[in-house]
Amino acid sequence: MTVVDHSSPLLRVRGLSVDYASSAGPVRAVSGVSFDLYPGECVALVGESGSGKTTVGRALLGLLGSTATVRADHLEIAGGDALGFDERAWRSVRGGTMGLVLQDALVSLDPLRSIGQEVAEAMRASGKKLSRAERKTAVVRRLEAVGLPDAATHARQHAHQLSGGQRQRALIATAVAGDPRILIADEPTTALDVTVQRQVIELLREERAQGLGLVLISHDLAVVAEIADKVLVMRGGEVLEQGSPAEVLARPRHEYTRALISAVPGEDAGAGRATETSSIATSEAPSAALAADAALAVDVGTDATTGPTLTARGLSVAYRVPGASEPKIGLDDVSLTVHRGRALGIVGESGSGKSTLLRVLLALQQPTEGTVHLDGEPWSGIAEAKRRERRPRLQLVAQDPLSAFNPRFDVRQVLGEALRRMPSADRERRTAEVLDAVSLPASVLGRHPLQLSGGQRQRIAIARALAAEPEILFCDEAVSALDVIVQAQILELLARLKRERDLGIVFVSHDLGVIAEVCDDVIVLKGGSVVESGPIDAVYGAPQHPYTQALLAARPVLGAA
Amino acid sequence: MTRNSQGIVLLRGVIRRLAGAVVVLWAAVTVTFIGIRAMPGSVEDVVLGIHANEPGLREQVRSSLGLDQPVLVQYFQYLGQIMTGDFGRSFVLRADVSDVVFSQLGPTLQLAGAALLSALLAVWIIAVTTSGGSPRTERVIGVAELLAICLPTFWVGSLLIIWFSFGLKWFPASGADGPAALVLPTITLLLPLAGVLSQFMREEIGRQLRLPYIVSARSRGISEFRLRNVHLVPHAAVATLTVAGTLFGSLIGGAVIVETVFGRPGIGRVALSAVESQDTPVIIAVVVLITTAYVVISTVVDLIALWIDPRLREETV
Amino acid sequence: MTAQPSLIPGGERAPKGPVFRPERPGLGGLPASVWASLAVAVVLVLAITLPGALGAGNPNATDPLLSLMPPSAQHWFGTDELGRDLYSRVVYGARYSVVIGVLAVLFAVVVGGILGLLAALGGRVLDEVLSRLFDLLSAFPSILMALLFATFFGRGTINLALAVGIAIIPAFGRIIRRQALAIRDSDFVTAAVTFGETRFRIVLRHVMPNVLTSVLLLAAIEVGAAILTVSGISFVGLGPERPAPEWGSLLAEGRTVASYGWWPTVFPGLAIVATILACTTLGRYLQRRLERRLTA
Repeated sequence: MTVVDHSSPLLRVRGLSVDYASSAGPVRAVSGVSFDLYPGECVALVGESGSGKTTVGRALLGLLGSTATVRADHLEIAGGDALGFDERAWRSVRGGTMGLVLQDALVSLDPLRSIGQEVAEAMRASGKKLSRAERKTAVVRRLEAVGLPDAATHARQHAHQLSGGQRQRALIATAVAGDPRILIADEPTTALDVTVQRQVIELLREERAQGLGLVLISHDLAVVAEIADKVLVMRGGEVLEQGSPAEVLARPRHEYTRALISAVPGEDAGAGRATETSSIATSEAPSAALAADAALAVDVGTDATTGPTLTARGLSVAYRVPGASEPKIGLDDVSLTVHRGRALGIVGESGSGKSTLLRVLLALQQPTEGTVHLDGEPWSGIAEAKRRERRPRLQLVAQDPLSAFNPRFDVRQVLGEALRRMPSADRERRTAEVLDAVSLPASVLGRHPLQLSGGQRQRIAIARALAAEPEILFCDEAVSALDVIVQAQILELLARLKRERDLGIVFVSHDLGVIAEVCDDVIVLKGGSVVESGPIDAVYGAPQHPYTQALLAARPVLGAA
Repeated sequence: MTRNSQGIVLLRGVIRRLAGAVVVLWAAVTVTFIGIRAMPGSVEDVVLGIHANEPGLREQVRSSLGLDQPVLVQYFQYLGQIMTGDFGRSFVLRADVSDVVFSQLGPTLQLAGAALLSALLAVWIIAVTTSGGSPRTERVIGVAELLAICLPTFWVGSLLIIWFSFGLKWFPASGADGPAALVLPTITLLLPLAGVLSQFMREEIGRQLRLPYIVSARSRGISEFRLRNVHLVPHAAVATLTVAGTLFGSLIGGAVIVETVFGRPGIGRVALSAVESQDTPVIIAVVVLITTAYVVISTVVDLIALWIDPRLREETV
Repeated sequence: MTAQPSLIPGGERAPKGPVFRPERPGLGGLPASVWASLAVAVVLVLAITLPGALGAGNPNATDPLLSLMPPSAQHWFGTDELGRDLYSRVVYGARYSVVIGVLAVLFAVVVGGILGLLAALGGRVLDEVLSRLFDLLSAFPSILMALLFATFFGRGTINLALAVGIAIIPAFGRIIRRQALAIRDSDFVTAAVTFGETRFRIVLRHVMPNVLTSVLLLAAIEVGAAILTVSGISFVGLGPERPAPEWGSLLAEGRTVASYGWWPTVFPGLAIVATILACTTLGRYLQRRLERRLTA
């Protein structure tokens, strides 16, 4: 742990409030937030979307725009009274005293300008007088400092030419280029794969170790727990409670904090479970090791109650890339079986082929090689007309329900899409039944999906899938866009449906915690191949493949702090 | 990707665009050729005029124009001539078409260039100073843009003549002598251009202003002036360049009308009088010239977009 | 202008930030500009169907004694060089200008629709070819197109409508292509596939209604633009043969007498401007409403 210098605070915030002007009068976004930030310290603002955490960060930089009114009893930035700042004073604070790191570097760096130009701009703006050559060396040195190995080349490249981790590092380089004393990081790891997420957290930790004050804004309790010295839990613009991560996580005083903590997915399965169940895991190790052989059939969970429903053998997908001699591999020799009443998780980072696999299983795309059978009958490689009758047996729940609904339809019409084959007399009854199954009131029927919350929309999507009376439900990152508490509710709903309806579930996600929450078996995909598969406890408890081990180790966990 | 391979991509882009340009030109020439064959009334009638009934003259004209040969032979002869820049002789003006057309190119280019440059300047100033401003400013500019687009060029031109030429006597009502004669035509032509351009620029800048990279840039403490000119204008320029083709069309179309309103010499006048007298070689020359100009400009515009936006240089796209 | 929020130290005073004011709704929830545009539309329909009801007489009746009379109680818009009543000519002119503009847009909607769907669903080569064609057509000045049509096929209402319509084809072709592609790849079409819907039903139930709305809205705006082009072409002398009182032709006649009087120039021009503003205002208003409904 770094030594925190408590002599003089970098930030002194007392009673910070923000109002936005709207057509219906001022709307309060942040109310009475107070905290101090000392050099080498990390203060974290945690909350779900709409909690006001991002607004606090922008207010500290004076970047809220003209529709916002900021008030405070006291707002001190590096010794200066920010309440008296004019635009000129704010500009001198930004970059030179305070830097900002946003979520997705692909859109947070100007796509038309090179990395080097962006870093140089930050240096120039913070008032460093450097010659052309000096600045060039300084840029390269700065990029090296954030861990970009080939900095001279990267300086000439643009954000889209770098990998996700590289460009997030580059973004951090621009934020610290003016040697600020405070860094505000707004969801700095959210869009990243877990292994990269880990590296970025380490980088932030290093920057803090050099005396930087860090304000970390995140929805992810686990990330916060890893690095923060002080946590502020926010909801509806107010701070519900604050304290050290250990205090807040172990002894949450507020009801909401408790809900937030218990909603973190995979906490009872992941690393926590890894230690508890290691003995069981070792006893199961032979089966896991056997299954880890990707070329072998990965018939996991053969002890399931019902026989196999969907079986895939040796699936490969190759794309022809115009101009390239070698075809691009989408999937490479993937075999799996989906049973009714069991949930199969497919986990992998971006580009691992998990979405392609899902599309092939749903016969939305034909495999280059291999076959898919549904209850022993061919499912892939046949004419669509022969599939159409059986289509309702496999249903999809997409990540963004809004895009999965025809924008002209209200909820009743959305549900009606799945009920078209049904005699109209039964439709009302069935509609009521599926709404009940996803715990939504009948009053939503007349509303447009836009008028519903994100969680309600996803429930509608699930209800629509259920209306088709499927045997297997495919969930494509189905909870990734949701806040953690809503996420937990949807996962619970899926688990209940699996139990009550003997539903098979294929759950595709990048999030190991979410998979652990809902799945019985898991397949780990990397570069289109299965690197490991088996029952969830076995794979999470005693991962055999180095990649799985790296994934699990990189995952931020609540208890790690 | 290395610099070198980006250069290759750029070169490949140029070659592909040039190949496309040749195809477009060929298509334009062929269509006009077919059009002339399909048109009612024969070519020789136009040439002969009042001498249409003199015996023997008709055959003489036919053979001198090559009309007695098979259609395919005529077509390839015609293609060959056009490729060497030979558009034949005007039936009516009794002069080489190339000379007629090129001598009138100057005034049109002057007008179009002046209007385009002043429109770009005006739009740049408007976009940089007002985008992201108060709702009231936005609305006032929006109405101004709407008017600039909806007011007919020929009407505005006429009104300007009535007020400034006949009323105030500030500028001449017609002709192309000196810069004073260029003022009213330029204003007339730039209005619709500026209206369209400004709409695109401001819409794009408004969209960009909401993107995270703007927050990043602001968090570095740069000035609003720098933010707008270094970060926003290039983005808006790329977006605006994509409609350059449409702008080209309205620029040329507008120039023809403005030339008529102000009685200016230029391509438009030549083309219109050629239609009156059915002088097909001149019409073809104008069509080929304008198509060439479009092809050249759109190629240049594409290359400028490639130069500004590195994402377009990716080979996989 | 600056992005700086106002800072008020302490206290709970009322915020001084600028007040966000949405578009002021007028009668029946519609802005005044929309009501005005609707009124213009009604007048235009009357002018086309029942010009007499608007008090218009014979547009071609000449009276050499009344040449170039300024506006008066008998002649609201004055008279032209041949003593024809300008008001009657402007009213009858709608039959040319507006009708040709609407015809041009109808033609462009049909052809552009077919080409756009072909480009979206007909494979990569066809897509590339059609997209280039759209580029070329949108760049080719419609005045030149009219010029070619007049040369090859002669003048006339239909030829003028075709010439102007060709230039608008890309606008519809592109929007239909883009929308059809977006909808084809959308999650809700994927969902429909998983319910076992047929291709035909998906196009009918999901693709068409979503494409049509935006096409109709664009058509409203394009009618204004087409009328502008039509009168411009008539102005340079490529429109319907004289003495047809097309608005552009009226302006061309007005130009020759501009040094004698302002009214032959001002009134036909106002008719054009009112018509175009009405079309554009209505189209944009409906577009904004649709966008708001689909995103708010």
